[in-house]
Amino acid sequence: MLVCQSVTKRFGALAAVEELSFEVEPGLVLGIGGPNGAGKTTLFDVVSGLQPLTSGKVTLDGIDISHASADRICHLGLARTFQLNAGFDSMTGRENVQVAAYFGHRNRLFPGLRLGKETQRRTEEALDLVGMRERAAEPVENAPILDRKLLMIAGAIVTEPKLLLMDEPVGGLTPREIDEVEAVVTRVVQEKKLTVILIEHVMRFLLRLSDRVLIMHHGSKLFEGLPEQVSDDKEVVEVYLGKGSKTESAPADEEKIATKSVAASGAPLLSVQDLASGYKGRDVLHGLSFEVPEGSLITLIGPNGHGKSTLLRTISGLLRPRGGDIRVGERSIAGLPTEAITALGIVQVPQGDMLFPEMTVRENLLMGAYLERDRSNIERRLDEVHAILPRLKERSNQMASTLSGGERRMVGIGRGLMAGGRLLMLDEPSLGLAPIIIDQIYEVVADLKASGRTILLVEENPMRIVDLAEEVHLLDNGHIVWSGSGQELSESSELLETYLGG
Amino acid sequence: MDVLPYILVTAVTVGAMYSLATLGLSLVWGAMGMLNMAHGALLTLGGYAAYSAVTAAGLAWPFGFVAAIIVGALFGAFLYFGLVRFMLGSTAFETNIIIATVGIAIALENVILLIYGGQPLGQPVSLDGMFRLGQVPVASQNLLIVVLSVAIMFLVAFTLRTSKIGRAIRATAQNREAARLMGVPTRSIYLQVLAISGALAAVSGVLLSSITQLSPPLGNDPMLKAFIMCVVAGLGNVQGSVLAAFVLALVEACTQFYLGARWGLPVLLILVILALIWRPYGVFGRTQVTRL
Repeated sequence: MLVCQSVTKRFGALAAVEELSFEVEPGLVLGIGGPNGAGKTTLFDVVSGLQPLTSGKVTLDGIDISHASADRICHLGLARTFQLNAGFDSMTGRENVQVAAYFGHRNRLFPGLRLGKETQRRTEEALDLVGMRERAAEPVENAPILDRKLLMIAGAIVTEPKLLLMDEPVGGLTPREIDEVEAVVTRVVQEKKLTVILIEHVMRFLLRLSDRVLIMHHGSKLFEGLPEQVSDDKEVVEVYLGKGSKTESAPADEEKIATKSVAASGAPLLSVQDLASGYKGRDVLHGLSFEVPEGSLITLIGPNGHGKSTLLRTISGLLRPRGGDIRVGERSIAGLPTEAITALGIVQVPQGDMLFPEMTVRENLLMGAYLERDRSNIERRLDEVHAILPRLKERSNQMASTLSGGERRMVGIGRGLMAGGRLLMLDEPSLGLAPIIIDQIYEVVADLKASGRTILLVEENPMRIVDLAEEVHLLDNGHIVWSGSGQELSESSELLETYLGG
Repeated sequence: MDVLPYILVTAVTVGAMYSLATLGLSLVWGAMGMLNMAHGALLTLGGYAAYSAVTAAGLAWPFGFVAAIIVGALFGAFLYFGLVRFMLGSTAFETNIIIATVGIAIALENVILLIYGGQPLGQPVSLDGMFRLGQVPVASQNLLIVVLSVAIMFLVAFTLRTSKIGRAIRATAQNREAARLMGVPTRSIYLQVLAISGALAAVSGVLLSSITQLSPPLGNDPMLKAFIMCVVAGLGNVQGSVLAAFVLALVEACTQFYLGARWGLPVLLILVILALIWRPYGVFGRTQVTRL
């Protein structure tokens, strides 16, 4: 059905996809996995005609589509869903699908005024198939992520494609929702006799749905074979799942340290009481309460989209809380401007680094100490940061935009340390990094903890922190649903299964 | 007679003024994503402020610059307190602020018209005399314009590069949220940027009126040119827009001399269109917009 021959896509010197060849047989599901930045979405962009390919050849049913435009490819029978929710926000779900049904099926140079019976029928059929018929009357902007994902699938199948490309159909969903999407995709594939290529991070989903699996790494093929073979392939396990992915129970002495430091601390440095917060009239956090004692490492874990970043942004004052209270010691900081909260020593290292790209590493670090007036203090902290993160010293005069992902993360942490605050808040320090780099980052986190710093850390993946954290809170839909020590968490595989999809 | 030296003198003088006007516009765009359409009116305001300081208050001519800088900075601050403060953070800020500042520009131009009348006035803040540069006679005022503009540009560039406030401005431009997390009071940074830009506009207004005349629409033409140069260089790219200012001034001077004055703007615009088809993000722009 689809044949890719040595497909290559370069952005400047960077090869996002390099010499990739594969075939998809009609009626089968090909699953593509691989770490972030492996080139999966770029591959889809190239195949669906959104990005021109640098070299190689793509054929669909024998027709060369290497250089065809996106709408032409769509009319040839290739439909695609997107990783992010690409919907027409102000239209209802039904209208979104209708647009796809009307324009996606064949070329409409001059759109008519009416949709026609055939279009209506296909729309309702597609909505039915994904189980969205009852919920399709609402504008898409208010729809939950799950509904948007389902609508996108409906919009893709309504064009009656031969081949469907799905980019992370379950990214950011809860395990229950993932199961629902899985059922829908299975149904769609069977009823429509579709050929599917899907990209997914959630391995469980990927392996269960796919007939064949292709694992990408650095733009190339690392593995291709049956789903059952993936977990036997040593290379894949190492690259994709990471060496540290197997949970091992923490050594007993770590536990002792943990209990000791909690016991030693008195009043909490930070306490969050009944906190509510969110965006544009929609609360993401509903009544969250927890404490961060001095000298401890407290962790919140939960899937994407469940309020982890919202929580940190609310504490640091980037978002105003809509209810409840945040206290530093005895003082309420709810509603204070960010610079005042930073001045109190509550320092957030934001998700995805957010460095100043056109500044050198040194300038970035100096920005971290913006509120410090005493030069000798700044120099001392700079030495401290260089001692913890020696790489930053070597890179001192390099522009931040030219650093690797791991180095950027280190600059982000170093910049946070430069503030000399009392509480360091880390937002997903492992996000988007290769496992070996994640190990390095967590070594740094362990060092920071060992030096007595107080840390509040949020993560999607709990594996790396169970040995470090004094207390772990599980976040589900803006609520804390479970709290306990890292030790208890690693023993409770059931909780992991339920909230993190195993 | 060889005309090239004359064209060069004109180009360098005009380029210096353009680049000063462009600098303020580019700074505000780069730092806060704000296209300040009142920038031209600020030029005019500066010119008249200097005029009043010298003719009405009877100060010595160099104080004309001081008056212009103060009035320009104050008006920049007024833009922040009266306008930007309320609109900042809304999702449509970048478009809303264009409309709002167009309104401010029209109002300001008309206030000036009401106070000073429409007849052109001579700018008293200028140097008399001539000197010879080799064979070419050059008005002292031209030298003043070039020296002052270049000095101010170096000062601004140096401040942005090395000082703490400069670093805070660049940080805010590159990532506002991260800057706030470092404790940078981004709102007061915006206020300072607007004040600086207002002062820069006012000074270039004084210089400009010293070789033309003072009139209420004085700033409109340079504003358009400054905007063109910003776009050609890549919006927000300060160094690039300064270079673009000099190059385009040279092109304009040549065109005006060889083809006639009325061809200046059309040729300029055609070049700009070609440049933007060739490099859609500006000649010095990268795909990812580099700010400050």
